[in-house]
Amino acid sequence: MADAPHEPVNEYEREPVPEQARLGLKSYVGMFAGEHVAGTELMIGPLFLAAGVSAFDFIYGLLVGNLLAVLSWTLFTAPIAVRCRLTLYYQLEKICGRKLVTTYNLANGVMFTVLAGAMMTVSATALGVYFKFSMPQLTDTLPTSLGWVVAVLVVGVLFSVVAAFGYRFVARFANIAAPWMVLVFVAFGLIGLHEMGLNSAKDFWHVASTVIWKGGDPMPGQVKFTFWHVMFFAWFCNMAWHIGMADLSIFRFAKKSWYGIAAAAGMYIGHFMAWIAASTLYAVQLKHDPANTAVLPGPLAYQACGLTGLLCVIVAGWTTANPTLYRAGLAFQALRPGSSRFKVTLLTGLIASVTAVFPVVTMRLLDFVALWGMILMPLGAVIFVDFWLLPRFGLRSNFAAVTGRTLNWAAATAWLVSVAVSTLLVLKGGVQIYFVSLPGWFVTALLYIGVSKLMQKNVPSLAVQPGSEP
Amino acid sequence: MKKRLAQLLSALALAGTILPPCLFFAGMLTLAAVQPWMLGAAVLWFVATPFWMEHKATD
Repeated sequence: MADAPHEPVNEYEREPVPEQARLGLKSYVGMFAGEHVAGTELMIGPLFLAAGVSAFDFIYGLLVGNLLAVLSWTLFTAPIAVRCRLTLYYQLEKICGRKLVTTYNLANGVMFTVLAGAMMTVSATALGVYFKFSMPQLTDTLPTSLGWVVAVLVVGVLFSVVAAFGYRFVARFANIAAPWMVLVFVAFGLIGLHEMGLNSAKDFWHVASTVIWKGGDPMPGQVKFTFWHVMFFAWFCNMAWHIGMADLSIFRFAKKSWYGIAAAAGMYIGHFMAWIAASTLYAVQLKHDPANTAVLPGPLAYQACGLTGLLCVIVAGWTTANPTLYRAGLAFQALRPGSSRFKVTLLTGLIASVTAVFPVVTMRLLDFVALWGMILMPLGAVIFVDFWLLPRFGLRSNFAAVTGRTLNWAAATAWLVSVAVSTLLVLKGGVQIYFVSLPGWFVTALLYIGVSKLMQKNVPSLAVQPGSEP
Repeated sequence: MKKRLAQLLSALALAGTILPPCLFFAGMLTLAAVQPWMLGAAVLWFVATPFWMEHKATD
């Protein structure tokens, strides 16, 4: 998954990106391809197999879901980004007011922190291969040994200190590591498929459907995955970035809005090839020992590629935890602008390290990612409606900026009610979390239009003519 | 010249990363033989590539 929004540079934060700063398609292809092969792919791939997915549902679900994700970037995010050329935060501030942006930053910061913790967990599993301490099983929620706690904390503290001190160094290292990591993931797939009995490409479907992704019951504690689960997961796992509009911040630099299709490089390398490869490694583990259901990237990678596999797990976790921690730090720092970024990043990293000790998030990573999308998506819907639809209803866009308010209650109401409705649907309505964000988007959109109409009725001077440019 | 050499070594490293697994897939190499090749290729990649790969500031 994309483990953090990708912000190429930290400039033009409160002004549109000028023409001379705009980037070509190649920049976006490289950015997406590099950033979507992350340590967490090694967790996500096996979890599909643990969910009892069949080969058809898995392969075609990923193909369609990733296509929808690419289309979401291309048709939702990029068109607004290239028309406004503003960061997500500034765009939100103009629509929702500073107070709501602060709340958004807080929610985003918490999510980034927990995700960084999951990346630390992934890297710590590599240490377990050598130090032989007991590591968490698929159903574990609490740490299982002192060795595990120590390993995670050591990894976490190291990652945090490096992120606080040397973000640029690790960012450079990540760029260097990216092509090699992609090939190691390909190697995982080739080795895993051969270990599962595949000797030529023409037998792929037979082996895939009868030996690897056989379908059937999920493992204990896991939800059974169908085509729809896979499709919606692949589509929505980066929902906060595309439909949630976090990537306005990067596509504001794009020369053309169709550069959104560059996301295909990340989706089909990271969220297709890498998930399939990681899933295959888990199948190999189950073939050797059906009782060993633990999803631990370190041992999985080691059985296939030896020390190179372990190196890949550590590098993948480290290079993606680094920007994630950095961005979590930035989100929290925005709450207290005068605070030291170094201290905030370090503190964020230490909190992430503590969350990483508890394997519950990592073992339920599919749910966590879906939850992230569910919580942050509504503000993307608000931006979409505000930009494209409000003027067509004779309502004014950028309400907070136009009126000088620090809180746009229409946006706040739409966000809160949408999250509340989605939560209720999951907890009481029997709707699984992977599906709830789609109705949530429409709930947000309708509410935002309705409450905006009520609010703006009381401010007649704001009225604009229907059909005027947004 | 130094940059060209580094690029050549990086290309060899990528080949060393992916060719052994391909040969394993084709049944021409054992897994035990694949792993040292991949490790050597990884070391070569991380030694050679910083000499030529450009980096744009990402923050």
